[in-house]
Amino acid sequence: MWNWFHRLSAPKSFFELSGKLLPWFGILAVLALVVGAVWGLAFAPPDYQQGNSARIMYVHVPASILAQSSYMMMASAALVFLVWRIKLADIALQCAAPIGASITLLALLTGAIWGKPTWGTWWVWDARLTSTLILFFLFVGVIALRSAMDNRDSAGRATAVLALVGVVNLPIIKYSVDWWFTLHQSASFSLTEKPTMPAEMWLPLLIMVIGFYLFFFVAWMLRIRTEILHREIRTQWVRERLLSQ
Amino acid sequence: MSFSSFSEFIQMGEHGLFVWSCYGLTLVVLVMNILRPLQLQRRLIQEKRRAMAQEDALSQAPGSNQQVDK
Repeated sequence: MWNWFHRLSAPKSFFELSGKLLPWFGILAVLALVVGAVWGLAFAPPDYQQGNSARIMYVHVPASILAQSSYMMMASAALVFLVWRIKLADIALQCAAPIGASITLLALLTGAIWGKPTWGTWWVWDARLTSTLILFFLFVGVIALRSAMDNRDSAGRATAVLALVGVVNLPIIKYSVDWWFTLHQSASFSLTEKPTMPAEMWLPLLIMVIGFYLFFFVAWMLRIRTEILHREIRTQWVRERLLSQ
Repeated sequence: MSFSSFSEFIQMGEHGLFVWSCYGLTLVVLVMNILRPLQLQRRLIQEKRRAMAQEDALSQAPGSNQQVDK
């Protein structure tokens, strides 16, 4: 098992395996996102209070969930890198940051656009919104710290530590709607309880969430593959690969 | 289908601008995240191929004493 794990974490074998898996994940991601978006936009019922602006939910909620999950995945890669010094984990950490930053920005922007017709304001400095803004800055911080340091080893360690420290922000985001007074509604969707909305609404939402996760893995793999190529461009296997194509 | 006509679908009650801008932003963010690494990857491969072709040309040139290690 350990042996297998070690072989898989070698950049070369990861490059080959991910190349085989990528097209399938890509097809599934597009499928889920198209079905979910069309369902949410055209077929799901409007909200009885918010009307059609509630359709923003089908992009805002998946983006927000993925923003937090992608941070969790980035921090896991950081932990793996700090404990076992696996090169691939350092690459994964570095590659998750820009995707996470853009998805968190998307969650903030769609939230602001949804807030305007619903709350009457684009932005409030409440706990949920502020802690999500901090999440965005954490992603940006990881990117900035990495590019500010020349030495790859110390840059890897420093960003991994920053990513791990930032994990304290995740429970703050999650429980912010229960701990502090806020305009933001609390979660109406959880793994353990029956959803409080009708199936015509939570089904397309669930499909969109799955589509966003699939998208993340495709984008993450693509970036990791590019970074592997960048770091290993002088090696024999890259040369042979290019010659054989 | 929760709309009776296409223009009604575009208008989304009075929330058309809000809804469509959110979906537009989502499309932009998702597509950029796919295209950007693909573009970088293509550039890397092109550069490497060019460097390899150059090495080959150098090592095959007559009278050249430059050795390129393979």
